[in-house]
Formats: sequence, structure tokens, C-alpha cells
Amino acid sequence: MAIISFDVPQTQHIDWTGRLALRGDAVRTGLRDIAPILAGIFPGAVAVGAAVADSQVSNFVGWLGAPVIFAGSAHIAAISVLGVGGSALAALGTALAVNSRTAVYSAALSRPFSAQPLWFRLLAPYFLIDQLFALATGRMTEGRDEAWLRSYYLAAGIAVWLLWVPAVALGVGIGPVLPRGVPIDFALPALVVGLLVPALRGRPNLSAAVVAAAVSVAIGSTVPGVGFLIGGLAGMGVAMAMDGGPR
Amino acid sequence: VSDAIVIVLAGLGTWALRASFIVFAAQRAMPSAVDRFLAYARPAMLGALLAGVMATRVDGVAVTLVPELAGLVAAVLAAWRTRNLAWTAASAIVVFAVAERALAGIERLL
Repeated sequence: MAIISFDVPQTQHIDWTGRLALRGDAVRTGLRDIAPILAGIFPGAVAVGAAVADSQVSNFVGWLGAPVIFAGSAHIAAISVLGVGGSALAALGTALAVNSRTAVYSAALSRPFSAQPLWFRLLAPYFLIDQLFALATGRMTEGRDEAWLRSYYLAAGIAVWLLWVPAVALGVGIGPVLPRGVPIDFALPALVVGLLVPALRGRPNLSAAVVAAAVSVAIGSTVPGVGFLIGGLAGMGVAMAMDGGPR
Repeated sequence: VSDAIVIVLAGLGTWALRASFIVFAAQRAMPSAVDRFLAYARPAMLGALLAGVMATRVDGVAVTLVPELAGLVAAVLAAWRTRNLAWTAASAIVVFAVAERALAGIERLL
């Protein structure tokens, strides 16, 4: 005779509050880490908005790229191609080529995120910008648990979103009348330097950055967009060849 | 195809690129060589990005590079000494602005 058990739901109980809840200290650390980056990307967001206002694309559709694409360089690329009357396919191809480097970020994060719940692995990529990748990989070496890293990543990512989307709208509105005084746009390369320098420990890491930079410029001047990707892959390959493999 | 559809497709494509490995390869064990390769993603991709961003600021005349290089050196020194992003950005912007004005002053004198 079959025994019907009513215990199944209990034994398969999933702690949803535990999996969805954010850790307070991780949120605070994430916000503290992302704060200077927010200050740096704000002018970038306004500049993207100004480019939208300046283009032939309608203001609303141009702004829509901020929440939908959520990537400054790919957004600008799409608007630029559409703005000069380029085809839809060209705009799409350029935007994706510019963003192709994020597939490498995805590969680098796939193992650290492998124990994360599926909802997080579906949501996290939406926020995956260069700066967040750099911050997250920096924190992953600290031996934190999954919930901490999830809270940290989401806090920083959502903070960027809350700044970026309204700031692009602001740029659409006020971009054309902005004064050209303080070279605030120099914050972008400066922030990349700030994220890069702590990662340059040892010769393989240093070589990765130098080779990637050189190849990126060499390729980027002939084939726009994919220079980042090919440069980055070249740098990673050279560094791997230098480190001599597992000992 | 309307511009709005292009924007939406670019958004979907961007998510797909970012999600590619995180969503679809997360449970697969990767060869150790791939792990070693990916361990260098941060310095390599940021190096490529920095070079790409700097390249867009160059308009072909070597002398106009002086403020950029000065700002970049300031950023590297500040990042190395302080490990603080706010100090890094602030130092770079100040040095860049001063160098730009100094260069403009020298050009007026000549």
C-alpha cells in the first residue's frame, strides 16, 4: 500500500526571505564603494542625454536607451548611428560590438556567481557595467558568502541605475545649454585608472593591461567597437602565457 | 524598423551578452586553463577600456595630449598612493584642468 506523505512541502522548503533579503553591511559597503563612481559617471550620463538631444532621434526614444540598454557607450553608439541616418542593423551591430567586452565580464563572473540563485543570475547581468565588474571582482577575493556578494552587487548596481536613468533625462533637457568650464569628463578615464591600478599586482597582471591597451588602440582605430574586446583577450592571453600555469 | 525597436533590440542584445556565461555556463565546470585566462579579465579589460577612452580624446595633434597625460599620471599616482577612487578622480581633474590652462597660456605667449 502506498503511503502518502504530507511532509514533502516542508522538506523542500526554500528559505525565500533568506535568499531575497539584502545584508545591511554588504549594502552599506556597496554604496560606499560605488559613491565616488557615481560622482564620476554623472557627467557621463548628462553627456549621453546631451548627445540624445543633439541627435535626430526623438528625445523619448533616445532616453529610453538609458533604462533599456543601461550601457553608456553602447547607448551612444546606437544613437550616433541612428542619428546620422544609419540602418537599424548598423545601429544594432555597432551597439553590440561596443558592448562585446561585457561577454568577457560574464565569463569571468560565471564561476563566482555559479552558486547564486537563478533570479540573481538573470538580474545581475542587467547591471553589469565596467565599474561594477571591477568592484565586484575586487571584493570576491575576500572570501565573502553568496548572500553578502549578492547584496553588495545589487546595492551598487541599483544605485548606479537610480542615478543614471534620471541623469540621462536631465542631459536631454539641459545638455545643450551646459557650460564648458570644469573638465569633469576627465573623471571617466581617471576612474578607470583608479579601478585598474589595484589590479596590477605582479608582471602577468601588468602585462595583461599593457598588451590589452596597445592592441585595443591598434585595432580600435581600424575596426571601431571591437578593439576593446580583442585588446582585452590579447592581454589575457599574454598574461596567461607569462604566469607559467599551475605549479 | 523604428528607432524604438532598435533601442529595445540593443537592450536585449546587451543583456544577452552580459548574461551569456553567468546564466548559461554557470553550472559547467570550466577547464583550469580557462579559469587562468579569465583571472586576468580585470586588468586586461580595464587596460583596453582606458586606452580606448583615451584614444577618443586625442585629435591627432601631439601637443594637445599634454593635459591628458598629466591628468593620467596624476590619476595613477593618486590611485597607487591612496587606493581611493574619489581622490583619484579629483586629483586627475585638477591636474588636467591646470595643465590645460597652462598650455593655453603658453600658446598665447608664443
